[in-house]
Amino acid sequence: MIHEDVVCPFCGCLCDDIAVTTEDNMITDVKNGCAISKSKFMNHHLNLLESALVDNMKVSLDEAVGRAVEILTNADNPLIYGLSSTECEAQRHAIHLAELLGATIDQTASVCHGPTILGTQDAGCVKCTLGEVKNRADLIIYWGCNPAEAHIRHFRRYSVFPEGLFRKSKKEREVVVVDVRNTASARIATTFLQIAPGTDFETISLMRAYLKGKGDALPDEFKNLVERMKRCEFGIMFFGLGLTMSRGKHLNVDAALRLVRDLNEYTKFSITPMRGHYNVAGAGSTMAWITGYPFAVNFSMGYPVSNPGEFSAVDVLARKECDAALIIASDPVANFPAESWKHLADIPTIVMDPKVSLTSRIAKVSIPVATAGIEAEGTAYRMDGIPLRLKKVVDTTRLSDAAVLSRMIEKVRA
Amino acid sequence: MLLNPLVKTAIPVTAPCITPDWFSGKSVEEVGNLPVYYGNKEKRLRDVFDIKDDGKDIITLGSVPTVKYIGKGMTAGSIVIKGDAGMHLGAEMKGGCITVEGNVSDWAGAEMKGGEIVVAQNAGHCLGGAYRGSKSGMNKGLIVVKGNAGNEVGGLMKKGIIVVEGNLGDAAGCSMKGGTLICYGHPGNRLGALMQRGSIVLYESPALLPTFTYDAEYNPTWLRVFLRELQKTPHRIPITQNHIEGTYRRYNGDISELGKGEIFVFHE
Repeated sequence: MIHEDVVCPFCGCLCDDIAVTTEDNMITDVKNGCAISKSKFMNHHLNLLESALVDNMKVSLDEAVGRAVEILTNADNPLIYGLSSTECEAQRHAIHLAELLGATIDQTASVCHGPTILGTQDAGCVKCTLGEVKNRADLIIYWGCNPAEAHIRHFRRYSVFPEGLFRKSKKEREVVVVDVRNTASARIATTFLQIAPGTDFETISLMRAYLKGKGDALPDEFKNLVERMKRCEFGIMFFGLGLTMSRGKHLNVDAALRLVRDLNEYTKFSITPMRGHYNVAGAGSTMAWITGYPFAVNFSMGYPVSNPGEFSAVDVLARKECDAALIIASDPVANFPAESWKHLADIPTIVMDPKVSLTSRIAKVSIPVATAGIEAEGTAYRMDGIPLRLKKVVDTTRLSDAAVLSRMIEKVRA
Repeated sequence: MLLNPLVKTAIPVTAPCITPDWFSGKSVEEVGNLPVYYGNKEKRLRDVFDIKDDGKDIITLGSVPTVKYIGKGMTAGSIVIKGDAGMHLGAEMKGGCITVEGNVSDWAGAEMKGGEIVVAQNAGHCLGGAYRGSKSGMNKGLIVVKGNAGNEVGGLMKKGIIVVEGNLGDAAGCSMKGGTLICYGHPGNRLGALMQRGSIVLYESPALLPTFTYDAEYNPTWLRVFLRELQKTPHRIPITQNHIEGTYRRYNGDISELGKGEIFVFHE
C-alpha cells in the first residue's frame, strides 16, 4: 500500500509530500524524503523500548502508569519536559497534567530557539509563510544556520530552487549565507559572508546603524548587503542556533528582528527561525494558547507563571529544585549540561519514548509509546507556524503519547 | 520579628508575604498563619520558619537562598537577611530597605519603584531588571551591591540608581531607558546593548560596542552633584574626591537605537 502526501516527522520543514510504501504493516519504501527522513521511516521499528519498565523490571503498562502517577503526585515540585517531538494533542494533555500536578512544564525550545521567543517578546517579529518565500522571495539570507546539513530539503522545497509564482528558479533569487565558517550551505549561496565567532550582535547592530545613516564602522561587504536588502522586492532572513545559542543569545535575535523591522521602511522583508524538532513550533503554540506563555511555565500556585531562567528545565535541574521528572519525547541526558542531567539520575524520572535513549537508561519508570507521525496521527506546526496533519502509516499495539497522558490525568483525578 | 528557616531544602519556597506591610500589627501567631508555597504545596509560614517576636519592627531572617519574593511590593519598613536571599528579592517594592549580608539570587529589585536594597556580597542576573515581555525594569530606588553582579543588570531600567562595586556580567544596562548604573569593577561584555537613554558610569576601561561613539572628555556637572549626594548615603560607596572632580570620557549610543544613552568612563 502506498501512502501519499505523508508529513515527515523529523525537522521543522515538515515536508508534506512523502510517499511511504507499506507491506504487512512494515515500511518498505520511502520516496521524496531526504536521507534523514528515509532513515526515520525505515528504522522506526529499531531500538524500541519493548516493554514498560519500573526499576528496570518489566511490568504492564497500567502498572507503569500507576507508578508514574504515584511519583508525580507525591512530588513537591515535579518537572515535565520535552514535547517537541510529539504531536499537539499530547502536548495539550501534558499541559493539563502539569496544571493538575502544580508542576513546572518546559519544552525543548528552552535549549534551542528559546532566545528567539524572548527576542520576539521584546521586538516583535515580521513573519511570512514558507509558501510566500517560495513564490516571492528574491533575496534569501541564511544567518547562523546550515540547512544543507540540518534542514536538507529547505533549499529545494521552500527557498532557493523551487518554481514559485513570481520566482521561477535559483537564477531569479539571490542567496546570501552569513556564518562563522564555510559550510555546505555556503557553497550553494551566491554570496558568502564570514564573520568572527561571537560578533553577530555587533555586526547586526552596525547594519541597523548603517540603515539609519550612522554605521561607518560597518565592513564594506555588509554595507553592500544592507543596500541589497533595501533594494530587494521581497527579502527573507532565516536564522538558526548560530544566533540563538552563541554569546548574547536573545540579544542577537532581538537585533536581527529589529533589523528586519527597520528594513520594512524600505521594502517587504520577513524573518523566520529555522526550528529544529518537527513540532517544537507546535509546543510553543500549544503552550501559548493554553497557558498564555510559550515555554518555562510553572503551575505551583495553581495558575501559570512563566519566567525563563527560573522555570526553564536546565536551570530547575541545575539548582536541584525538582524532586521528580516526566520526560516526554526528548532525551535530555544526551544534550543537557552534566550538572543538569545528573540531577535527573538522582530523582525518580519517568520517560515516555518509543525508543531506548540515554534518558530511558537512567529512568525509574519507562513507558513505551507509539511514534507520532508514523504509528500515531496528530497535528504538528511547521517552522513558519503552519499546522499540518501527521498521518499514521503503520499500526501498533502501543498507545500514543496522548493516550498515555490521558490515562495519567484520569488516575491523578481519581 | 525573627524568622529562622526550619528546613534546608532545594525546593523553592514562594513567600511574598514576608514584608513589613503584611507583618505590621500582627502577632507571632497571625504571622505564622500567613500563606506560603513550598514547591506546589500550600503551607503556612510557621511550617517553614521558626518565628519569634524580638520586639523590633525590623524583620530579620536567617540564610534563605531558596525563598522567593521576600519583600515583594513592600512600601515601608526594613528587612535584614543574615545570609543569602532567593530570587525576586524586593521585586516591585515601593519603599523601605532590604539589607542582605550574603549573596542574592536573580531578579533582585526587578521592576522596583522605590526603596533601597543593599547586598554585602554578590548579586545574580537581571538585578533591577524587567520581567520577560515587560516594557520597563527598575523605576526609582537605589540598589548597592558590594560584590559582583550577573548578566543583564538594569535591563530596560527606566529610573533609579544601581551601584555595583565589583564586576558586571554581560549586557548590563541592555535596552536601558533611563536611570544611572555605576560600576567600579570590570563592566562586562556588550555593555549598554540596545540602550535608548540613561547613564552608565565606569571606573575601569570597557570594551565598548561599535555602536557607541566618543563625544568628549569633561567633568559633567550633574555627575559631580550626583556623586556628592550618593556620598551622603550610609552605604559607604567608594566615591573619592578624584571621582567627583576628575574628568570622564563620554560615549553616546546605542546608535542602532535612539542613541541618547551615555557611558562615562573615568579618565583622571
